[in-house]
Amino acid sequence: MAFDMSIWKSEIRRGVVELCLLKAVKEREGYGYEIIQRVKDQSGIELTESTVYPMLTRLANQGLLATRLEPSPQGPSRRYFRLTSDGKRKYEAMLEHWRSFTASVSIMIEG
Amino acid sequence: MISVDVPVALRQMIDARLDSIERALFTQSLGRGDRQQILSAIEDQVLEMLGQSAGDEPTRDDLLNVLAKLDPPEAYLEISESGIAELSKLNTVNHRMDAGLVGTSDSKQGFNTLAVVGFVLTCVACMGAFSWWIIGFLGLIPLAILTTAAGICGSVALYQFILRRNSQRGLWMALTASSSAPVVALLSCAAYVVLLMIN
Repeated sequence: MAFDMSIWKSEIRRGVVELCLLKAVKEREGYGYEIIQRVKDQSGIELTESTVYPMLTRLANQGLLATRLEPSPQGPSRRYFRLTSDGKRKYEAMLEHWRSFTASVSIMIEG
Repeated sequence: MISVDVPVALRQMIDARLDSIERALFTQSLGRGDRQQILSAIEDQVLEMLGQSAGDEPTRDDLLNVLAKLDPPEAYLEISESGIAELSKLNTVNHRMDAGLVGTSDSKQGFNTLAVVGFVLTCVACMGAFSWWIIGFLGLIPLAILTTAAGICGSVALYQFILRRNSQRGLWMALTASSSAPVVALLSCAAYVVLLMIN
């Protein structure tokens, strides 16, 4: 099977999207589309709804995010996500691992 | 924030997109409540994008432009292990929804038609195996035709069971029909022995 750069890129991204989402809601709560926009504004990473919404739902089910509903003027009630205390601990642990991992990879690549 | 007044025709287009996404979400290990949350978030995004781009009186083209910017329903398929398997599962779900048989993902449909036909042919052939000696050796011709037809029906039914991941009933019928030839041959021999003993 030939090497596919797009698959490699998506695999790289998949692992860090959760970290980005937790970081995005760590500062302040937000609803789905707003979080997508926030990640894009802060990092330039363009996430799409098919990735973000199922992931937000899973993170909430895992207890890393808490949710609340607020009426929306233009449709269904909006679900706002915020980081829980457990989510903050997990985020810090993930961040530490990420820094250690990227540092090791940089040493490996740059010699 | 702009409040969008969506005409009925556009509302139907949005609902159609959401329905397609929901079908794709069936392939993910999500509960009904989780699926509804995701669909609500997508609907909210559509309306917000529509409000930003078209103001309070959106047209069909405005909505098409917004929908074109969204991920297609296929993007919600879970293809981590086997894309083909998940697509097959989605096709099964679509078939169930078309037939009005929406239920749990592991609920089975009705009997496989070919398996039933094959089983009935096998039963008739088994009876024929004992009666051909009454009507003579020419009775072996329809018996052979029945057995061949039963075997073909059973084999095709088995192939369908594999393709549809055993989502239908009647696997035992398909197995019986596909193995009809040796069974009927055995019964025919038994009938012949009985005939010799009688004579």
